[in-house]
Amino acid sequence: MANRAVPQRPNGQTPGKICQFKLVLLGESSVGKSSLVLRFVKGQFHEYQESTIGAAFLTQTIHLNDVAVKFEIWDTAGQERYHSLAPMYYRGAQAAIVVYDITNQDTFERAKNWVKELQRQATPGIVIALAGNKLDLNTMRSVQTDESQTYAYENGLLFMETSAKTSANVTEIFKAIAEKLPKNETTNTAGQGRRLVESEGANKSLSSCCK
Amino acid sequence: MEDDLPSKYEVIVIGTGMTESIVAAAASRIGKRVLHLDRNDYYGGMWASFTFEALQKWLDECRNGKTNDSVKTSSPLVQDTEKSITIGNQFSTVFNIEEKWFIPEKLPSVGNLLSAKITQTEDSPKESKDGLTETEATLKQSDKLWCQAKIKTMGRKFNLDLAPKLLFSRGTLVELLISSNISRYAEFRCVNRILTWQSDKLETVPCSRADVFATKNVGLIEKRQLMQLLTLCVEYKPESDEFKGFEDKTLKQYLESKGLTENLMHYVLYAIAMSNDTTPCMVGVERTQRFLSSLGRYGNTPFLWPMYGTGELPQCFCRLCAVFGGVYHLKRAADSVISANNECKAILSDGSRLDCDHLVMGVADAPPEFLGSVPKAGLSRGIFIIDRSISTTDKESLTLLQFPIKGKEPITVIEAGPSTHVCPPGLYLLHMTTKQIDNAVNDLKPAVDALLHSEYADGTTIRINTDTQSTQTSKEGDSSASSGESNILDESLKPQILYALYFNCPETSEYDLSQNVPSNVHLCSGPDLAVDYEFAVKQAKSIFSKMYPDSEFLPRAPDPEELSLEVDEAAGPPFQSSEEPKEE
Repeated sequence: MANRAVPQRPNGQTPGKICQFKLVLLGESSVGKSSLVLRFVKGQFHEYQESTIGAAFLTQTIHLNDVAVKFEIWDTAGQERYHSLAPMYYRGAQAAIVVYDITNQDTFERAKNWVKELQRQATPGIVIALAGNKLDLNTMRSVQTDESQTYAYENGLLFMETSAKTSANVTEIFKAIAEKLPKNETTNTAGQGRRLVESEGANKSLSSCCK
Repeated sequence: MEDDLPSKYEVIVIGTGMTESIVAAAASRIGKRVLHLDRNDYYGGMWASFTFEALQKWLDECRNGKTNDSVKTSSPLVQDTEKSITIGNQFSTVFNIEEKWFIPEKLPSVGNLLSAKITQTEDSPKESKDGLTETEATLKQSDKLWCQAKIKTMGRKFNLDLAPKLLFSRGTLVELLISSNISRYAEFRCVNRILTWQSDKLETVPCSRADVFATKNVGLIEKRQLMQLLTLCVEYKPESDEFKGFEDKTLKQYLESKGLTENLMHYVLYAIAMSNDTTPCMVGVERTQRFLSSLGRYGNTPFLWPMYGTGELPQCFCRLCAVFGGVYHLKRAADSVISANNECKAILSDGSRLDCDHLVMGVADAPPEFLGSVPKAGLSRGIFIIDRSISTTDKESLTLLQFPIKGKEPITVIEAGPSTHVCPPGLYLLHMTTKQIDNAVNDLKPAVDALLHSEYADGTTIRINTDTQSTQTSKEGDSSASSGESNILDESLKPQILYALYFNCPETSEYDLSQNVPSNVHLCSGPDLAVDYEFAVKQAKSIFSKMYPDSEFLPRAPDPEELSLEVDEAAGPPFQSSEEPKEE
């Protein structure tokens, strides 16, 4: 009964066939998490992207047949750097992209830890995609495609190698996630609380009160 | 150790409690370089919410009074003119810890019982009259039997709050969350039931207009009286004469002068004005106004509760701080504060010197000499895992009860269930908070005795009567509608305590924390007694305006779509989407 305001709900299906999902990004610093999102959402790429100030919460919609899948994309805001990501980050996330850098084996090992962390902390049934980023630096590769592919397969993850720079597989990975996300479930796995917004109840302060 | 942490900041914040986190976000938001440290591996300090295992770990640390690693008093990082002051020990502030299980460690018998039943019914499962097979019925019953092991295996489903609080729908925190655009990080539920305790039973307090009309607990004349009084309070302006002569009297005296019945007086005084018999009249009127003005914004009570517990809220502010460039490092203790000429210059942390213009820290981390005569006591807390709601209705409720204690502060009781993700299905959490007089166990005893069944449950008998009487199943939902409003707490209907935790912790909201600190050090109180966040927000604002008097406090953070990320306009074409990203 408290959930009348359907459009404000971050998750689930509204009558207009728009499904909204929270997607979180994970991975070591400088593997290109923000770059992937900026490429996906804004079609941009910056070679010397600083940690993205103020832009840790973007939305983008993909159309699959007649369903609009709206992603609410959360970036780590740098909190992963000293292993200080807050649990609230994972809350209600229905999808995650775990990113590593194909030229850096360490980031792949850390990616595996993030996957474990997600399986431990996040909503059961979360769709996880593994992204081997910086495919444009293929010549400097240190993580072999086979290795990641096998790991992803064994752990039930989507897997693609991507390049935020050339935009290779960027749209594709989000699309693959969109396809895998359940779009008809009535039993939503997310928080099911309400968001507080400015407009709501602005003019009806005492409407149900004693006046 | 490896330390790539930059060494110069405008603001260093130690501790991720509520007030500290709001200040950190506000400073970062206006472009200050912020470092936010917490020695713990979790956010929130005394404002945290824990899984069951995390709570156990916290208790161990409190009991063992984990001491700081000894800090060398002379360090090459401290200059001759400077003084190094050792940081306080957060765990020494929690005391009188009493933890008790009311259920057995394991239920070995149930497994046997169950498998026996299954073999019996395997060949010809008999349908019992309610459509369940015997096996299912047994399973269902055993679902209601609890043991410690079972609670522990579900431990991750708990979010146990050290400092449970509610938000007034029009309170300063809600306004701040919205105006700063931090609200998008969190989700809330409305408290949908306010109870009071009168004549040895629980009653639902009518607080909205609809409630007043619908309630069976007050008569027709009383309804008129109540409506009149509430309207008076809502419309009260300082220049009106209504409360003339009551400025130095109590709210109770005013209510008596209006000829209110005992019944009404009780509702207004304890539940709506959230006061007691000694509350001054005008304070009570102000509280009543606040209560009434928050009604109807998001639900039929004035209060909101954060999904996943109150520990989420500091994290929301921390996220905003990080989004604007704040550096976060958990599991990183500050060892000492370096000061010279009554000014803090830097902190020492893990062998590094980190310089700052301002230092913000929670009282739990403050060096004892910063605290002076600040008291070590203040709050009595109780956390109870219970097997059903204190007052069952056909659906899960989120409940506030101010349990009145004659002549003392009431005991604030908040009950939350599984739909807010604070406990697994089938259980409820009951939080109690009051001002410390003696110790937590004794201070909370009146409410525990009145509301809860606190005998040991051996785990072999299901309090089956209570289950068939209670109306938690939809089949019997109808019968609750008539009796729901006033539940006489028959001993057999009371929730069974499965697990209880009591502790005391400091309450420093009434003390001037700036007395013994260097001019650029700002101390933040821990959780205060009040049910809401007004104090924490107020304190954060005042600290911020001391640090940056000319800057705006948490202006609205732009939605990322509004940001022009300094790009040349000729950047590539946007992803082809038929819909522009919209602000929600």
